[in-house]
This record gives sequence, structure tokens and C-alpha cells, in this order.
Amino acid sequence: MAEYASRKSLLILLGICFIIITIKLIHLQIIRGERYFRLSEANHIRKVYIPASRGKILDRNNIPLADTRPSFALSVIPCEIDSGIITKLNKIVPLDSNKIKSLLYDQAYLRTPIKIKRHLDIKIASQIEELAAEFPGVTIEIEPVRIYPDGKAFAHIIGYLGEITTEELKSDSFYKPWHYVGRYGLEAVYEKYLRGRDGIRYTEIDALGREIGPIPEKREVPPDPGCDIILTIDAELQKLAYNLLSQHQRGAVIGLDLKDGGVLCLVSYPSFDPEVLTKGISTKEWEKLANDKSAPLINRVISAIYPPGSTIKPPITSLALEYGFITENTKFAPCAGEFRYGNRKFRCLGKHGSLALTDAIVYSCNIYFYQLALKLGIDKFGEFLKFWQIDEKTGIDLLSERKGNIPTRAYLDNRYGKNRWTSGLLVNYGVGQGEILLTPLKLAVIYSAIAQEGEFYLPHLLKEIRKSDSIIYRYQPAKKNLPVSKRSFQIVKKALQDVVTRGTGWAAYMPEIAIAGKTGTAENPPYRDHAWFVGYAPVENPEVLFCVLIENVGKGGAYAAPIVRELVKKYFEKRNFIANE
Amino acid sequence: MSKLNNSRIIIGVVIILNIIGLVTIYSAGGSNYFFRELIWTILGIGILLATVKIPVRLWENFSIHIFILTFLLLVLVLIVGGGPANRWFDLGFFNFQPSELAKVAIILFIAQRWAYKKIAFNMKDLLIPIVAALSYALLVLLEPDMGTGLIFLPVLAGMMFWHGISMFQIFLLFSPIFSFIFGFSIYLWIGYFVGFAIITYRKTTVVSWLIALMTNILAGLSSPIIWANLKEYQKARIIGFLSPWLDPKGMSWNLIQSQIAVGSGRIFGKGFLSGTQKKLAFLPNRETDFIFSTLSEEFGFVGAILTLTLYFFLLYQIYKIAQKTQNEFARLVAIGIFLVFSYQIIVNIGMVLGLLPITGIALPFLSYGGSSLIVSYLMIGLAIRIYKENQL
Repeated sequence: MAEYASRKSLLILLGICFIIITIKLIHLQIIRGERYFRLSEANHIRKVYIPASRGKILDRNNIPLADTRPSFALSVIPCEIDSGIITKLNKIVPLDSNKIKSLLYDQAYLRTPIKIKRHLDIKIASQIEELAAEFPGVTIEIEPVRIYPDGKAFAHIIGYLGEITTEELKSDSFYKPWHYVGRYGLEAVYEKYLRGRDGIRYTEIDALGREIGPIPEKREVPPDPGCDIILTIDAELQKLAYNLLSQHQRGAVIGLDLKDGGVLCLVSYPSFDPEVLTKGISTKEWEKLANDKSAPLINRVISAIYPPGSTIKPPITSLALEYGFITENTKFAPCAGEFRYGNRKFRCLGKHGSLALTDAIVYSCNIYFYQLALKLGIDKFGEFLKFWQIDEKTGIDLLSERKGNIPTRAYLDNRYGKNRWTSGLLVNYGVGQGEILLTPLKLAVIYSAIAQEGEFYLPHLLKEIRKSDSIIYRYQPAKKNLPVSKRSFQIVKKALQDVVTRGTGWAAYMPEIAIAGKTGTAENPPYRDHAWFVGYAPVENPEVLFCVLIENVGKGGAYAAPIVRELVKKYFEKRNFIANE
Repeated sequence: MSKLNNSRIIIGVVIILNIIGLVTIYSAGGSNYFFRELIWTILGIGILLATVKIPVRLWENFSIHIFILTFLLLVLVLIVGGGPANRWFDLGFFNFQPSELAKVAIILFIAQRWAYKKIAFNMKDLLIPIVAALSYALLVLLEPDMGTGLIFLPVLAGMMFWHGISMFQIFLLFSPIFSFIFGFSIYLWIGYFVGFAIITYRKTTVVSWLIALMTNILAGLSSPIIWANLKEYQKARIIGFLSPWLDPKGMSWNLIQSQIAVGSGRIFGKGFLSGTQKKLAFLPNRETDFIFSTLSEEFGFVGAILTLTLYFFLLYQIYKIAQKTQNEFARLVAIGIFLVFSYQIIVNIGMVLGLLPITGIALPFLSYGGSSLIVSYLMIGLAIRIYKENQL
């Protein structure tokens, strides 16, 4: 029997196997136990984000300018589809071929739905729903999307959204791949308030990724909707301004509430459809839009600079009066239609004869202001422009505001070379031509100071921020006070009133409300002139100011002034100052 | 004193394992599975008690009949069988798997063939058991049931060793199988074959050396052919075993989910009924082949080690019976039982832990399934009877 007893090999073999099993158990459960525990947690819990609805953007009367509504998105579960289903689907909805590829290969194992097409037409969505049996693994999901009622009229204020980019996802952990972010306008400026925070729902899933139900231990975090942004904009005025401008090729309108600097309307024409941009357009379409000669993407009110033309005369005059270069009665050499300086001739639109200051403004006599500019000299003139902060931004709550340009001595030396320029340039600056450049918004702000005799507010679009109907932030306008005597402004204001009643601004005249303002015609050779009019009303205790610029149409009095009149009229109709016929 | 204790200890250990199985089945599969398993447990204990009463001599006398009957059943199940594969007879209340019975039948058959041959073997004595085991393996593999199909050859080899055949001879006999495995890669096979030829040349006669070489060549050639004829899921399982993390949700899904289940149990487990892996269908066959992963998930390392200890203790007891038994037939039967249990336990747990490919084999006394449980009790009963007869 001895040879039997020696056959312990089987028992030893068994022991070795059990030791290996024990080692493996130690490895799995003790050494790597925590990791597997986490894996098992993640395995059966799915975090489902509940999208927060983006805050609305409303006008001062709570009319929605940017809102959210449900839209259809096409989702597929990659592991449940095959190329046959995709081919069939592609016949109904054209799909991006790269997305198809990644669905069928890289992401093919995924058991969670992936959105492959958003903003689905309701007809297509219902068609796919009806054919659900033919499309296993394909679902129609409902998600909130941004809409812009009257989008074109408000496009430059409100802006638009865009799908988050891969780079942004990497740099800002707040965002998730399905997010849209503000790309332009107030959507971008107030992104942090508007976006809200997605809620989180934890659901238990089975091995196939199907949702089984909520997990009682993991409380749902409800979505925190974005704040509503209430603007100082008056939607009705804005739309009227847009319609009036749309009769021309290109232009800009800015309306200010003088009592707090709130922007009543801000229109740049031509415009674009922000909904189209939010949905996303092809690179080709984008290039077409960006390279359009009429530059619809540029906000002409804040991002384009123009020579002010004759509208520069009153701001210069008020300072010339203040510092005693002239008085109300100062006269220069009479106007005979042209002015010789050096070997150059500078023209006036009329033969005004000998004019005092008021009439020089009323008839916008260039000869008077050529001489005033020469009297001031380049340094003083530049100082005055600097006083009006033409080379600074107003600080309005929009992106891409541009600074204006002041032709100071340093600027001219730099541009033409030291002593390579003559005072002939200065003559032109006196009537707002040449290298003096500013935005329509800046001009409006300058006139708001004149209208209120030195007291004014900086322009802004935000009125208040509301969170579920309670105000969490209200914009506090800061009053600015210019160190200029009221007397100087009063002289200029009298002239501005006469501009409308008996001067170049007659087209802005309206019997019901006294308007004051100034025309401007900025030369833009070899094209036609830009037409300016900036006006405020009522003359006594002004409430509202509009500044209109129309590119390449001709005289300010003829083209821009009537628009101001219509806007003032609308404004006071709404305030019941004028009976609405 | 010790004789009474020994059989009682075995029965006690088996019943503890069975209770662990019932608890885990309840957790993994719910009360339906639990109650059916409970009925089979009662039936199994009945069979155990009955088997203890049957003299070993009787098994020896009927071993050929049992073998032939089982053979016929294995053929029949291929023709009329039900289930996902042709594995069982649907008897209404019970799905009877003849492959479970085949494990006992082959042990009895081989033991009977060798009981009086002692050490002087000739080719015929070896050939008949080999052909018998191969025919069972082939029939079960055809069902297809890879897990159970592969059990017959290790049992045969173990019994050969137990009966006094040298390791080298066994290796020589089984070398075609190694040749077959290496045959999946031509370079590995060439290496193996050259090595095999050199090592065996000196130790054998020229004739048997040539026979060994021929069979090795044939086996090596057959593996690519068989691979081409494997079912897709079988191929997938083999590939999945070789590279589990390559496609986390693809073929090796089962393997990874099982490891996560085991690992996530950590030391003390998630607690009874608290496993998340098994509850949500992450685990395949969670009340049958993967019962050990549910056990490990809910009862942790402590529960797993306790179970392993009980198994080792049980196997050791059976081994001791085989060692101490005088009667050669009974001795071989006992070691056969030891080998069947050992194989099933190691292969099943090895698979659950990701040490071995997923082949689908029941864990004795733990996995849900009537045929497996009843045959396990029958083998325990047989072992105890052998022990008792040897004590007389």
C-alpha cells in the first residue's frame, strides 16, 4: 500500500489551486476592492442631467425678446443601431457623415442615447415617431431651444447662442457637451446669469443601460433656471426704428432715456437672424455672412466709427463759449459760399452772409466753424474733443464697443510726419470731417450731456435681473456732471431748438412736441454722404434722445431727421402725451 | 468514534454549503429559484441517505449498465433535448441533465475496468476507458456544453495517476491534447512538437514514440479545423478571456462584470440582498454559473474565504477516504468523486474570478440547478458509503 500513500500530488495540486484562488480574491476584494466598489457604484447609477431653462431676455414692458421653447432632437443608442437603420434614417434626415462614422465605430458600444440632430422639423420628428418600429434604438427627444421673436430687429442687442466647443469644455468645467453658450450680444454679456444650472437626477440602470427608476438614497437636484434679464429697451420703439431704417441700405439708430441713460432702442441695419445662427450654420454660410459687403454682423451703433459732420459743431461750441473763445454774439468773416485757406477752398452749402453764433448753428454754416476751428487751434480743438471723451468707450454693456478717434497734434505728426501737415486739416475738423471718428452711441451720449446741461448718465441696456419673479439686481445709473456752466449749454440748446423750427432740421419738426437737434452730413468720398441727425425732446426738461445715422444717402436733414421725428412721436404717443390717432 | 464523526462532518459541511447556496440563490434569483432549489435540496438529502444504504458492490456490478444507459441518454438528449442548447430533458417539474449523471457513470465505469488490473496495464485496459471518456466528452461538447464536456479527461487522467500510472505515461497519452491546444498557433505548435519529440525519444520504444508523434501531428492539425467550426459565442468567450479589457461592453462583458461584483464586495461584502451587480442583471447566469460572484459581492472576502475553506475541508475528507480505502474499485470511485468536485470548484471559481475562460460549469451545492445538486448529493452519499464499508 505504500505506493498509494505517496500519491499526495493530487492534494498538493488542489492546495496550489486554492492558494491561487485565495490570492486572486485578496487582489480583487482587498487590494483593489475600493476601485471595484466605485466601479460597481458607477455601473448601476446613471447621472441624468435635467437641463435648466435659460433665462429670458425681456424689454422694459416684459415683452420677451429671447425665450425658450421645446424642440425636437434626434437621439440614437449606438449599440442598438446598425448601418441599415442609419441608411434609412439618412433618407429622412440628412445626417453628418462624420457623426455616422463615429456612431457605428468609435461609439458603437455605448448604451446611452446620443443626440445626433437637433432642431428637428416637427414633420420629420413625427414621421420618425410613426415609424418607430422600423427604427429600434432611435428616439425623438424634447429639449429646450432658444427663440428670438422679431429676432432681426433685436439681433445686435440680444446676440445669439452657439453650441459649446471642445476647447471651452476643457477650460470650463461648468459646461457639458449639450450646452449652448452666449456668443454675441447680451446673451454673451449676461451668460453667467442667463444659463442657470442643470439639475441632476440619479437613476438606477440595469446592465443594458435601461433606466429602472430613481434611487431613494440619492436625492434629485432640481434644475436651477437661469435669471431673466430685463432691459431698458422698448420693443415697440426698437421695431419702429428697425422698420424706418430698413427703408435704407445701411444705418444705425440709438435711443436713450435721458433720465437714467437706459437704451430705448439700438438698431443696426442690415441685420441677421439670430435663430439661424443659434441653430448653427455651415462654415460656408458663415463666411458668406461675415464677408457680406453690407456687414450685417457689425453693430453699427457701437462698433462702427464715422465722421460726425456738422453734429460736432454744438459740442465744440459749448466749450468754446465756456472758455471764452467766443460769445453768443461773436461773428466771423461773412459766408460767401466758400472759404479760402492757404491755397485751398473750403465750401459751405449756402451763402449765409454774416451770422452770429445761433444762426451759424441753425443754418449749419461751415464758414463760421472753419474760422472757429482756426481760432481754437489744433491743440485746443483736440482738447475739446478729448473733453467729450471721443477716444474712449462709453462702457455700454455690450461687447466690441469701439473707441473714436481724435486728430491731435501727436496723431497728425504720427500719421503725416512732423510738420508735414497743415492747418488746412483743422479747417475740415471744424465741421466734423476727416479724421474725427466716433460711434453713433458716443454722439448720443455727448448730446445727452448737452440736452441736460452737463448732467447725464452713461448708456446701459440692463434694467434689472430677476430670479423667479423677484428682482435680484437693479441697475443703478450713476449721474455724471460736466464741469461746464449751464449758461454755455443753454446758448447751444437754444440754437438746437431753432435748428428744428427754422433751420436744417426742419424735417424733425412736429407741432405736438418741441424737438431740438442737429443735422450732420459726413463726407464719405467717393460715395454719397452719411446722414446724421441727433435730437431730443421735449426741449424743456428733455426725456428722450435719438441719434440716427444712415450711410451713403445724402443730407442728414433730409434722411435722418424724419426718423427721429417718428421715434419721438412714437415715444410720446406711448406716454399719452400725444393723442394716438 | 472517528468513523461516526467523519461521515457526519461531511454531511454537515455539505449542508452548510447548501445553505450558503440557498441564501445566495434567494438573493440572486428571488424566491422562485429559492423554493425550487429547496425542494431539490430535500430530494438531494433523500438521495444522499439512500445512497449511503446502497452497497458499493452494487454500483460495481451495474457500472456497465449505467455507462451504457447514460451513453444512450446523452445521444437521446441531442435529438429530443430542450433548453438553450440540447442539454436537458424537460420533465415538466424538473429539467434533467444527463451530462451530470455522466460524471458518475464515467467514474464507475473506469473504476470497474481497472479494479482488478492493478498496475500491469496493457493498451486495451487503457484504451477502453479513454474511448469511453472521449465519447462522453464529445457527446456533451456537441450539446454544446463546453464546461461539462471538458471534465471527463482530467478525471480520467487523475484516476490513471491514482491507479499508479506514471506522470510521464499520462503526459504521453494526453500529449495530443496539448498538441491540439498549441495547434492554434503554428509557431507555438512547432516549438512544442520539436520539444516533445526530443524529450520522448529516449524514454519510449520506437513504436510508441512514432505513434505518439503521429497522434500529436493529427491533433495539432485538427485544432484550426475545429476552431473554424466553433460556435461564435464559444470563440467570443475564448477571445474575451484572453483580452477582457479590450472591449468592456462586448464579448468579455460577463468576465468584467463578474470581477467588479467580486471586487466590490471588499472585505465584509455589501450585505445580504444588497449586491448591486447581481440585482440589475449585470451578472449573467447569476444564480447558476456565477453564483460565487454574488456570494463574494454580498458577503465579501470573509464569505468567499469561508466557502473556500468549507470546500477544501470537504475535498480533503473525500481525499482521505480515497486514500484509506482498501478496495480498489471503491478507492478509484472515491478519487473520481474527489476529482469531479475539485475540477468543478476550481474551474467555476477560476472563471468567476477571471483566472480561467468562461466555460459554464456548476459550483457544487451552490449553483442553482436540480441535476447538479442531486448528482452532487449522490456522489457524497457514495463517498460516505465507501468510507463506511472500509471501516467495517
